[in-house]
Amino acid sequence: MVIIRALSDAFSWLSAPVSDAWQSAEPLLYVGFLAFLLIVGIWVWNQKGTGARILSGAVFTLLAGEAYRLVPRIVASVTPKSPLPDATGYAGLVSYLTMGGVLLFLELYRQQRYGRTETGKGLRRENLIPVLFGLMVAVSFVRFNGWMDGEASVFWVAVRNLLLAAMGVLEIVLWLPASREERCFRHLPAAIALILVFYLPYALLEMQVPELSVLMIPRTAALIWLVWMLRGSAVLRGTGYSFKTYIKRYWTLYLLLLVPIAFFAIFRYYPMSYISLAFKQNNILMHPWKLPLAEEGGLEWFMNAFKDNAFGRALFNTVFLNLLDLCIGMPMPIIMALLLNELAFPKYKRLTQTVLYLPHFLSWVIISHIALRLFGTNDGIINKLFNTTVPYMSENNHWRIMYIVLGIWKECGWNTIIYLAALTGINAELYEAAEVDGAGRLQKIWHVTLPGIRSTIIVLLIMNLGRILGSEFDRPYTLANKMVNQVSTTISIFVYERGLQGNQYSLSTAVGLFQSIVCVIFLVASNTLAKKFGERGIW
Amino acid sequence: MSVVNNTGTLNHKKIHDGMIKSRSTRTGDWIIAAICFILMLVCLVPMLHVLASSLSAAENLIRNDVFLWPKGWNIEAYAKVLTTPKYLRSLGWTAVLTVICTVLSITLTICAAYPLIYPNLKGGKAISLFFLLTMYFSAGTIPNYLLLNELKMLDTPYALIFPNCISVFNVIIMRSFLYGVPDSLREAAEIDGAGPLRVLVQVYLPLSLPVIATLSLFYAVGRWNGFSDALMYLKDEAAKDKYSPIQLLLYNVIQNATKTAEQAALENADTSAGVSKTIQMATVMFATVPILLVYPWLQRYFVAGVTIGAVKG
Repeated sequence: MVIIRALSDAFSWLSAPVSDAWQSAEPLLYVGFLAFLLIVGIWVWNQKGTGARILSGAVFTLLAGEAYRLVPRIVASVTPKSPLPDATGYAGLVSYLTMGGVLLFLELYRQQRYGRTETGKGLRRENLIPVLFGLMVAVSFVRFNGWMDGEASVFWVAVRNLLLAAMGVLEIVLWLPASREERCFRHLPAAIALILVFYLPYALLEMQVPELSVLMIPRTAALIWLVWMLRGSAVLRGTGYSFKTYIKRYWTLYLLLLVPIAFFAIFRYYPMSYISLAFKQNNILMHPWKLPLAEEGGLEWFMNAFKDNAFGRALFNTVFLNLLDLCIGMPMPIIMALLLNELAFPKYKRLTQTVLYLPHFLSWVIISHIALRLFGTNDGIINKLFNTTVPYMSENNHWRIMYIVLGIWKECGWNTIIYLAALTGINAELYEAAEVDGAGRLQKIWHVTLPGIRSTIIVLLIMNLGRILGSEFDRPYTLANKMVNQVSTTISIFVYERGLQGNQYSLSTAVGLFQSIVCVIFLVASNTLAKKFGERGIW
Repeated sequence: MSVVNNTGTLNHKKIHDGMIKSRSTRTGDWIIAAICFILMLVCLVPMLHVLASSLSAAENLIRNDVFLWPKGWNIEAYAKVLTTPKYLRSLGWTAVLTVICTVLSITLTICAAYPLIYPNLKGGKAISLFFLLTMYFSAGTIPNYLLLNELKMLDTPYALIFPNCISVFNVIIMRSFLYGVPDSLREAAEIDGAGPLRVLVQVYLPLSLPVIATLSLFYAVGRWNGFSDALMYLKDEAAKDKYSPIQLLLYNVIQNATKTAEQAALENADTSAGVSKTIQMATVMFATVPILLVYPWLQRYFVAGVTIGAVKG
């Protein structure tokens, strides 16, 4: 008791309030640890060496156990009022069994790699490991462990941890010969010992000295070391040079990748954490992780959006304009590419292409400006030339048509590039054969050219279908005006106006999330569909 | 895997020359040539109209009788744009910004793409996946805005430089191109004792000038024509005055002009609206001409670039 009191005092500084920085770094560390286990597990699973599957079994056991322990803690640390029940009791049980499971897998791997030792009669040492693990499982179900109620009997706690300790010590002894034999295992017994040294005091005294939980940090470090060694053992057999040589030769490549990876992590992945704002109260003064949930169990903004007529209209406009683009805008480059392909004068063809690519390089701001000059109702050149007053840009249906027409004007020439490239891949003999058979120009196009670019058309169709709910910003935003905003407000503009201009951040994040998810679903669905019809798809 | 071979020359030759026709020219060919001529006109006429308007006198523009040929020739509008500090500064700033962004983007794109072509790079596949996933799922407008808010980058030039400085699409194009360089060149350099960096500088970079030119064009056009990021990330007036790229300035000027034109129409138009119109037209010319001067020279390269990108993406 005195010792426990002393220990408790010695570690009391640990219960001091941790700094904010640590609080936000902690979940990231956990996520990193779990991701490390997952990657190593999958990697080892894919190795061809002996016992790779068993090894990955050990890593996956560890992953499952640690995930069970850490995920509730991640959730608890990022939400002020954790909706999950306190899972620490279960966590104790799970990490106890995880430790045993990992040791069991370690023994199976050893036996797979070195075969069973032949000496000794009756109960051999290596057979003790499964027996001990069985005992551990049996003991862990005894009620007096106090997993759930926290009223553990000291006796049972001592018994169950003694079993684990025995298993660990036995495993160290069994690995000793291997550690002398192979370089990659030379520190393995030490790692097991360290894990036990850090884990056991915590497991024995966690009720009396909660601060001892800090020992889980070095224990986790030792676990990482162990997993890394096991991974090394799976590589080293077969490959010619060691990890050190590899790093020496190629470290510069990782140096090059450092900045791009940091860029994607910061500017592409980190913002994803802000998506949680869609489920939180509308507040941007702190990170949404720290905000309380929105009403309706966090779904308030989604419900609001779907009740909102303006959102419904934006959704409809997005889909409608994209469908029009798909039906009218997509065939145009194909027709134009066929036309260019039939053009007989090479120099003239090159000039035509250069001119057709020009509009692609103009921005939507400029195009909308020119469009207003040309198609204005009262002062537009076109109306002036024909002496009419057609409201090209200021009446709903006219505007929709102009939106499509201007889109075609800008991108049609540019989009021919890909079809023209596909056209060059068509075997010239096919044309000759068709000519011999007496096919005319149109027949050759129908029977040779179009089938030749079919797969390209399908790939582009998939990509366009995948974007059916996606929306550009520049195009509708610059072309729009007050008269037509009923039909010109797409989701991207809705998000901009509500979120950045109207400060309804949560609502617009929810809308954006909905849009992203539907986009991914459409992309996957259309790709699967294309593959069903025997096409290559886009992945 | 990659459609385009090592230097990309073979393919666009094919693209440009098309099918080699062994037969004589027929009437159909002339009809197609005529259709293509009309298509060219459709692409050119709007630009010619802008050019003509910018060179016309203000009162002709107000009367709307300028179509393709300038009336009342003068280059006053251009002189005015070049002497109006607002326009001149914005043009200069956009040029500087475009250069910075292009250099940064192309450097980072090479950094991202080059290591991935090493077949035995450990973790290479995972890193590729890490890059590629962002093409299919992105955080969205508001999260990106909040990120810049947290990084204190709003209302600073950084907001226009960093968020879009690497495009995955361009990384794919660059990687496919580098894949096309024969491995034997790299291996020969490695046997001579060159490390990866040296191989990059001495073997790969000289061979990849065409793709660097293409991607520079893509990045430069993207930045030069970019407007939505400035619209969203420049919020206070001082920052807008200082850092508005030319496209945003044009957009705002035109929006204001339409409003004032509506008022002017009510109060019987005077020539000031016409003057501002010629200036707008001259600004449009300034905002488009740099790109229009560059892209035809790079055509053979970007055709190859687009083809790789579309096949891989």
